[in-house]
Amino acid sequence: MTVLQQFEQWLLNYWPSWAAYLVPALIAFLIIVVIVLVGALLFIYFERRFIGRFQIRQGPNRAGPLGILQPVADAIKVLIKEDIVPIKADRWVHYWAPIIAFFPVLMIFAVIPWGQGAIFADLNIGILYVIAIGSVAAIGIFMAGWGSNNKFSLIAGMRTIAQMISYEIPLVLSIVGVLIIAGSLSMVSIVEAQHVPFVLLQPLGFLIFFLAIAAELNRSPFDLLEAESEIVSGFHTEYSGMKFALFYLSEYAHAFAMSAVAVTLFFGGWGWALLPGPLWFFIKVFMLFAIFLWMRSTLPRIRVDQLMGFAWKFLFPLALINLFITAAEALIWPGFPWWLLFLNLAIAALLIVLWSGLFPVPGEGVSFNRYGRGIAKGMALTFRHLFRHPITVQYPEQKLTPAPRFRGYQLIWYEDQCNGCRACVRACPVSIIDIETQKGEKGLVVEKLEVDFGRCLFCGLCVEACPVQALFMSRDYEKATYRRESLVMNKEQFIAAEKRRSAYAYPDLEAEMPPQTLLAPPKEGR
Amino acid sequence: MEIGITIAFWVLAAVIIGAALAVVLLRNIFHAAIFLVLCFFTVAGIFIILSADFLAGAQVLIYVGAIGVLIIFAIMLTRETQRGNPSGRLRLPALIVGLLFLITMVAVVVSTNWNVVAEIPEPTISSLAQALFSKENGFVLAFEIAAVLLLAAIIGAIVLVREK
Repeated sequence: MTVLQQFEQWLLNYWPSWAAYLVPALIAFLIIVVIVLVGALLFIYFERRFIGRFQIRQGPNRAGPLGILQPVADAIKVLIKEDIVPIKADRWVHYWAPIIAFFPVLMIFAVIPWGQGAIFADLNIGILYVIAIGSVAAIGIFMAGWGSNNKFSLIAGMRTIAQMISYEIPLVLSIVGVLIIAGSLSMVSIVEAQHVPFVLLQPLGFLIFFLAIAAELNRSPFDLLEAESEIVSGFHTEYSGMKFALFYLSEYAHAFAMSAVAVTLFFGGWGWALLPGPLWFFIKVFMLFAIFLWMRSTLPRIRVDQLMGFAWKFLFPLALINLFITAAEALIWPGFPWWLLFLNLAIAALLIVLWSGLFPVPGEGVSFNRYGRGIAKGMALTFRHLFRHPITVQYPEQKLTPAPRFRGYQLIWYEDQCNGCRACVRACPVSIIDIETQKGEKGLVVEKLEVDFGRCLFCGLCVEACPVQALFMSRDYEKATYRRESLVMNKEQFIAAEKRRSAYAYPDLEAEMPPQTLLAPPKEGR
Repeated sequence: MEIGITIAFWVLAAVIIGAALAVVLLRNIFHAAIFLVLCFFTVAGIFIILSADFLAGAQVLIYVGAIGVLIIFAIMLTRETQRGNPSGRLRLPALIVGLLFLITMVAVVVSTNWNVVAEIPEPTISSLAQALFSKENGFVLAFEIAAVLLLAAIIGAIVLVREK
């Protein structure tokens, strides 16, 4: 009996039956919505930080400690944006599409077992319900593509449907293997049946399932729906504001839901716990999601024909073979003893290598050598990046040292060196230097010096023209002002300015310059 | 509980009939397809009220997930859907056939002696499987023949559209 049912029984003592039935349902709905929202926000944060680290970047780290408030800030931003509907859109379809895409995803969470007894509805048909409801979400995405009245969106919609039809089949077939071992469709019974995590008994099944859900979730390398380089952003090109947020949310909520389903089916759900069940479950879900991110940051997007070929020629036959082998094993060893995992791992490895041999690369013997090893190398590379120090420059706090001969935004002028010869004025191609001189005791004295840096080309000709080493380029590169007139520097400002000379036109100065830095300096002690 | 189920039934029935009418009456063929999907979905709701959970799941999976999506796919591949769904010359024959079909259906529904099981078998799936595949009174042969028929249909479709 689940916690919710116990609550209902307890309520029956005090309230009429309809209220005792309705109130727990409403509470459960609220809990689901909160879990989905918080989970999706966490996933977004997790994804952006993780992808950052895979690419040796920092990821968002400004809003709140470690950037944890970034998704909240994004959510607020997107909620207050204007909602734009294209004038030729099918308004009705355009309006309902995000809602139809989001609600099925929300409904999947009803049957996910978070822990012992912590499930909202332990349906008999648990996993069938998940697959059935999950397939509805594609209709929402397709409606978005159709309703936008935009060619790119329509292409994305077409791809969704083609992708869904193709990948649904290996997805379902790979689950059947698990169901044969567990002997039940209920999510709770599947978890309880896992005396060995099914990923070990069904390695091939898990691989097929994982790749098929990656395609269903439109995660890279199967994210053809929003292939930015081909079709802008696909089905949500014409969406903005709240509706776009709903698509964004449903994408991550779907990833969350399917990761949770995968953990339930293949990784023993809340079982095999070193920590409290639900916490352990969440850790597993995040680990699985991290593999999606790892894939996303490594593999390039595949072509449409490759996508279809992969589903029909590779995943589908392998799923059938896997189903056949599992059924045969169920007849021979009905208890599925743990040592079967060695046999199944060997079969899975053999089948993958043999089957990839059917798709030879011209001029090479075994295509697995090329693709398998290539993918493994790429994944290993991005994994190593995870432990490298990010190269992102945290700009206002960390500043890069420019090149020694950098031509910075202003000039450096030494009053005591200058003899007022006006060579720089004559050299300036845009005539922005203005000097007035008077006769003094030891020659000319500069009375007025004005340079309009708003028009300066930073060509350096004035510095080259100066015969007395009174003028240098600077190495500063921050010049942002709110008013144009503050870009004009006069004599007093030149005298007061910090003198960080550049070695431009004076190569002798290079020796005293710090070396140029291109990446963020590593941490202290590294 | 009983009142709740009655209310749910009437709401679902109203939605089903409304959606079905929309499928027939709407000019925009894509809107019609969407309403067809809604109709399929609410029929699954009726199955849930009848405690036929497996049937409801199968209804959503097959009708909404497969047939609905396939219909939408077919609309995508159809040219000039923008002109809508104009009525053809077969209005009168269609009306007659439709009426005949309706009369047959109503007659069958009314004259059938519906078996009502007092107690719902728990869990439903295994009892369904027992009824289908048990050695006595099972339908294994019919099931296998249907599977072969479907396979033949798939192969036939592939042969038809295959490039020479």
